[in-house]
Amino acid sequence: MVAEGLRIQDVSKTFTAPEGGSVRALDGVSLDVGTSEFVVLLGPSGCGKTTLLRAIAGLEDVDSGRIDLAGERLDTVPPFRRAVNTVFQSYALFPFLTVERNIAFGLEMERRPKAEIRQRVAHALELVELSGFAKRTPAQLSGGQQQRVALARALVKEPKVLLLDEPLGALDLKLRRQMQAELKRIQRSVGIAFLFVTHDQEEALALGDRIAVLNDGRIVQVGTPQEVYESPETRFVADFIGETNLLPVERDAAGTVTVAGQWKLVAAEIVGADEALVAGGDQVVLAVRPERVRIDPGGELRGVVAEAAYLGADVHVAIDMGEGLLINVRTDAQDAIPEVGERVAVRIDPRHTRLLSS
Amino acid sequence: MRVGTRWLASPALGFIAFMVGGPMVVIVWYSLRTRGPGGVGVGDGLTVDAYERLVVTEDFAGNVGFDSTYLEVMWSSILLAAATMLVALAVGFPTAVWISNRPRHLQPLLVLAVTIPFWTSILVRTYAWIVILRETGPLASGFDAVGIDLPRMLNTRGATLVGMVYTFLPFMVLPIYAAAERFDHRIAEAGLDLGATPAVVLRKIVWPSVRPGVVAGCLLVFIPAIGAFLQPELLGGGRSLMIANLIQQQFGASRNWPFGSALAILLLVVVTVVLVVARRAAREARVVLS
Repeated sequence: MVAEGLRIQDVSKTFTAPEGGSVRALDGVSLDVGTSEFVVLLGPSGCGKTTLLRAIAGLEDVDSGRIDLAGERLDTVPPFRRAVNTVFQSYALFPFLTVERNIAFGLEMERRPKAEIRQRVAHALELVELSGFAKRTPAQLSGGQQQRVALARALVKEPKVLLLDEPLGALDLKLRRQMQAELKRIQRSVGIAFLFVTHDQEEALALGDRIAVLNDGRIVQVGTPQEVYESPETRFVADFIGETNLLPVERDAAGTVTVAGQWKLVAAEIVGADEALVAGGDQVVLAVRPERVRIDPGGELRGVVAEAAYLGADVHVAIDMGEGLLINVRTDAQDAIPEVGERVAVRIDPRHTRLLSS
Repeated sequence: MRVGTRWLASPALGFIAFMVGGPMVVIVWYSLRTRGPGGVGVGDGLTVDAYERLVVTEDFAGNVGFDSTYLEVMWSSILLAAATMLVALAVGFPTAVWISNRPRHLQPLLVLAVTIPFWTSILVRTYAWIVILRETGPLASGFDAVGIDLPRMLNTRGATLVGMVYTFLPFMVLPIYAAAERFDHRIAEAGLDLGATPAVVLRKIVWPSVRPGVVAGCLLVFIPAIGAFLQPELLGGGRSLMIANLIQQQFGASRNWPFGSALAILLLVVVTVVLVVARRAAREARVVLS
């Protein structure tokens, strides 16, 4: 699988600012993308995810490392000869060409026969459900429609990998959700590998077969959505993807830890305990998702309700554990909503927690 | 147009109609009259003599024959305007593109620099060129000092062209800059991404984007250049007669107002034809020119 797909090995890239400073946009990035895999590059703005995409497209040179596609070296090939295509964040449609001609552009560059171009363009328009819009110009389309044209224009070339640079960023939330489902459907039907850049963790979870989390030019974790959500390997990943409680941990004598100064438990019960305790020293925290915390009179941790908000499907409760430490809890809306100021106890199942050192 | 705005605009529209249409009516009317007594003004008789004279000559024996002298003058004006346009394009296009690629805060300054010549009178500036180009001027004496003997520059066609390009260059630079400045570099990247080589990107993506600016710049240079009068007179030494100088002569020394008016109409027709052709070309390029 790997030899046929996209393989990125130890790629680095440093930008020099005109004022003389330099930014390490990519720092030893390695990643494999399978032939029909949907991989999401997730990270905050400035983490290097767009730079990586541009390096694969050939719009940016890399300083070191190599990129291969289907077993052949890609990073030394000029952009117009790479079997990858990009859906740009700003769409970058040609304003002086009709929708049809925009989509045909890439095939015209390949000097395909006219009849073939016509047929493939029609098929691409059908795929993105814009068949009636062939003769319009981009200016006559809505943002969502322009987005679809950009997608069709790149897909019609049947690239080995389709690169998508925050393609849904400019759309409103509802349209975004709709396009996410659409993208997933299209990706399954064409069977092309998608490498999708976003800073939106919900989008990443919804779309990716796998998610690669980037921070400061490095890939900090790669895994399925379940893996990165349930088993974050670093504090950054735990914090960036979804909501997380990071509770201070003190190490005790042989094999036990105390969480938030209240809850003593055997370290071995917690995932990642060995590595974290060896590596982390005093910086170790216990990560637990708000939905994994239960309000339970028999719980080990006690505090005062500082906030309780009804959110429709569920209830968000913030519990003050003293010394400025808050634990966020998400419970079912059908449960009783605690009063602000009420003393409560919470229970955390160690199996749903992780110890993180960095 | 809503009724309210039409009412508001009507004084201005009336003024423009009068100032443009009035002289035009007068010129057409003059061109159809006989010469006035002593060549000043026009006479009472109605005639198409002035138009005949554009293409026909009568010798002393009364033989009538085709005469291309005046059409050749028109033609040399067209050639001069075309040459001015092409040189201005060759100089102005790279300049405009260069300005559009400077850091954003520098661009307004550079555009301002392009318009600096407008701050003084065209007459003063053209006289300045006489000073520069004459045999005792800084250019000739500078080259002389290093042992290079320059040929005569003032009172040549070359001097006329230099003066014309100098005068009309800003009209080429500004519209091209406006188009180049709006150009979205990301669509060039999209072209590369879709398999277009850099040369093809230039031809199929960059060029269509800046073409409206180039068409506008060419028209803004060509049309006034065709009627240019000052540069052929002052820098060309009046050696090569241009249509505007010919018209001026008819109302001055030659004292033939009807013929001068007919020449003016000829110039108007030529400019109109150029505009119509350019408009058609521009419409194909999906540009609206107004």
